[in-house]
Amino acid sequence: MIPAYLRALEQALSFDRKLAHRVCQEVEMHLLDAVAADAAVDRREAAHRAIARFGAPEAMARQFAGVSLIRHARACAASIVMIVFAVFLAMKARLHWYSVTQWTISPDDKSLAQVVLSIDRYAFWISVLLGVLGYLMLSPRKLVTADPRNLRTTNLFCALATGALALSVVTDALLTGLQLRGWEMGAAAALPLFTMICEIAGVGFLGLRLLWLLRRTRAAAALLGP
Amino acid sequence: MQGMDRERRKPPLDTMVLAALAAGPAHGYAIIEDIKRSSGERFALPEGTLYPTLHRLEQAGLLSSRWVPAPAARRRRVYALTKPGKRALIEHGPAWQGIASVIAVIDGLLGPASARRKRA
Repeated sequence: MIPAYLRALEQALSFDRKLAHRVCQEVEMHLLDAVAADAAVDRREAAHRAIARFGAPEAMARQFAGVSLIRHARACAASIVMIVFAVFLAMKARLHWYSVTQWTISPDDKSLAQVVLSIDRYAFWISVLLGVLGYLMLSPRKLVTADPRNLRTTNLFCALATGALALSVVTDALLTGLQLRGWEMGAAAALPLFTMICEIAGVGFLGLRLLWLLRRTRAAAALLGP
Repeated sequence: MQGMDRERRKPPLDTMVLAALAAGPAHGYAIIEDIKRSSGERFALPEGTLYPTLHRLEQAGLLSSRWVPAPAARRRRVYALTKPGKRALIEHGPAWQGIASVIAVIDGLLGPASARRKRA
């Protein structure tokens, strides 16, 4: 009877596997303690009573859903802010490297580079703004009250910030291509290429993180209701 | 009274759980039993509500938790108050004591003595 209840609880908490594993272990110990303390009646009846006191697995999972989603959305927004900062450092390192090596864009490409650069700047600052706003919308107080009201907005801001950052990285890659065009690919090109790979990896990680967040939210939506 | 107003907006369960942990770290089952014993078996905290509350308070930084070994190669999750948790309890405890004394007065007015007065 207890294993069946724990399976149902794990299924209800499937929006957060790590949490489900932890909660099921805690609940199992609790139920075993309750059955052991209820020695006057037979064990099956004691287990039945202990499980009845816990209530429906879905009702319990619903209480976990708000906090779990808020925590993951906050972590996603924090990751965006950190990766945006890392991208900023990578861009600055590249620019510094170009000035040290005296690499310049060829005059033919300068007008195109200006357009790409302005798109890059706008996309980058939009991602900064949305990432910070997304993080601030879910204050730690929301964890105390498990209030999921701003969750959708934060998820939307996280998605838009990731999109804007991806655009910024694409334009960075274009600018790096323009910068390196016509120059011999030697050891000096290693730093710009390395920083570009780091930026792409950072955005890829954010994309995956966002995907997990949206999957969790979708899985928990049925529990939380409209 | 302002403190009491603020307290009325806060879930009493949070303060109850924090107070149950004031004596020292404990696992979920022990918290339930402690609350039941303290209320003279009159109040039984719903088990299905306790664990989400513990998790929520932990995420909010008011509690910390760790696994400790239990018999039969199992583990128990033991919860303890953190510094902010102790601060929250010190802050909110007196307001709840105020509410409790008001309830005691109301209970007294509506209780057997009041019924005797009406009969007289």
